[in-house]
Amino acid sequence: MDEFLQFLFSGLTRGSIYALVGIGFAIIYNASHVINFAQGEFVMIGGMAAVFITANAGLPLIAAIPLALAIAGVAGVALERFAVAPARGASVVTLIIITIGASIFLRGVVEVAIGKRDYALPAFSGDTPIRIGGATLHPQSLWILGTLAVVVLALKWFFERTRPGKAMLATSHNRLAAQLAGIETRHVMLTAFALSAMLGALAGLLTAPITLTRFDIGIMLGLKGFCAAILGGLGSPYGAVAGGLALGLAEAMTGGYISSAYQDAVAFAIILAVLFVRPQGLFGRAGTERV
Amino acid sequence: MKAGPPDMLLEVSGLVSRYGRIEALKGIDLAVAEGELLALVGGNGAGKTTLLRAISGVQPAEGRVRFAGEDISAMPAARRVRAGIAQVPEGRQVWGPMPVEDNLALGGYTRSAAEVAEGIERAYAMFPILKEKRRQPAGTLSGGQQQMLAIARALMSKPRLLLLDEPSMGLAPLLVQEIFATVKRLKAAGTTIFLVEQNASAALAIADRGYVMETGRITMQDSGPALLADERVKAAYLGI
Ligand SMILES: Nc1ncnc2c1ncn2[C@@H]1O[C@H](COP(=O)(O)OP(=O)(O)OP(=O)(O)O)[C@@H](O)[C@H]1O
Ligand SMILES: [Mg+2]
Repeated sequence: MDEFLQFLFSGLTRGSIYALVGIGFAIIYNASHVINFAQGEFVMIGGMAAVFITANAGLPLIAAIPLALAIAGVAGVALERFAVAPARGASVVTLIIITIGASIFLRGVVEVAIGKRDYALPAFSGDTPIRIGGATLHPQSLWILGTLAVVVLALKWFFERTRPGKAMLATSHNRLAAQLAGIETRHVMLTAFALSAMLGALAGLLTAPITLTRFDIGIMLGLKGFCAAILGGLGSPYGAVAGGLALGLAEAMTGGYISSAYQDAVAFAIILAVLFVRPQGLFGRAGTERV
Repeated sequence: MKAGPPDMLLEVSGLVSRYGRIEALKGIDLAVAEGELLALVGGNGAGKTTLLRAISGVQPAEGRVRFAGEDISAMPAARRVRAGIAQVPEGRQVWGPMPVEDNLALGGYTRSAAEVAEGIERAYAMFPILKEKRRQPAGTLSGGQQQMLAIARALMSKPRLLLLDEPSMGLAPLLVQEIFATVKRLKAAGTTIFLVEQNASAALAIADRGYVMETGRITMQDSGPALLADERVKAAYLGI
């Protein structure tokens, strides 16, 4: 039982990270029908920027976090502006290749500029484990779970109560109607990329104290986030949250009760299973639509 | 380029638009006067929708579009809405999962909060059924109700020119009558209307002037009653 509780904590913690990354996939997919395979790089940028700012610029964490989020936001806008927007109207496969190219570029820049080592960010509230039942919980896990809860509520408010949020929803439901209503769909795209990048970065700097961070951490986390998003139906931010938590729990249980060697295989198995159930591919529907 | 008479609200000249190699508009010239109800009729695939899309700026086109005396050919779609052009697109295109009231509010995206509140009241006065269903997702409305919503949504931007693309499509005869009655009321209230229809008899009957379009070209133009009486129009579009 204690063992189970321990796996549960671990699963929820990593699941929350996948959820944050997955929400980013969902928001960009909704606004533009692009599957942004550079999403994982925003996670890396968030963690690496926070490390770099605290260690090299000597700023406290409380200042480093918003700065790291801003840097990721700018990277997201740049990705849309310089890589995705110029390919407007291209096929989905082309766009996927473009985002993969952009991710290789971003990874390379960080590798050269900062280095190949593992970097650690100090935990937000120390490293003293909290005992619950017979299991322990890292205080950083509480930050991660709490942040996910706040993000979900904030997104709900954004999409249901604010003008830009509703405009983004309208654009995803029917882009033509949005244009005819005078909504600047270009701005919607930029907002979606900035928002997704910041959510990814948030995941990256939240997880850095536990898992460490390095220039290529985005490959795996991007894939897990993608898995969370497709489990949730690809176009739904809330679905991605459920998908992320499910994936995290499945991984933790697999790692705990079977073998940690198989842990990372869970996401691959899920992606393959989804592709198998939908043989036309995830991109079948998106393929007929324009960006 | 010849400048049209100053009271022309919309002037289109030499408009060409393509889908890949298909030329859907092959040089369209037309004009809509302020306060006029203009009908454009034509068969399947004539290019009517493409023309309206080009006027709204959501379809790339060559040639010139002038609105209220200003050349808007290079203006992005969102700014054309601000300038006063609204469109009710073919197939209604409501935001299905969003509540009726949100559909209306977003129709007034270019307007202030006060104007939006006012516009929603006007929409409810015009179509009371929308008020009844204000909290329901637009996708759950019937076809006729969705068409009313699409018209009300377009009016939220307070347009000077309203483009209507086949508003009667797929509706039962009684609803078709109601939609045409609405169009007449809008005209009476001073809105300039460009009505595209396959239902040629109903459209020409209420129109001041009409154009006939075939395979990307304007082939006839005259007053509404004159076109209704024309033998060729009767044969081709009225099934007489
Ligand atoms: N998205 C598209 N891609 C390729 N060709 C298109 C597209 N949309 C329209 N066309 C072609 O352009 C031509 C004009 O089409 P358009 O939809 O403007 O006609 P329409 O007069 O509105 O017809 P309808 O009365 O059926 O609505 C047709 O030949 C049509 O096949
Ligand atoms: Mg049409």
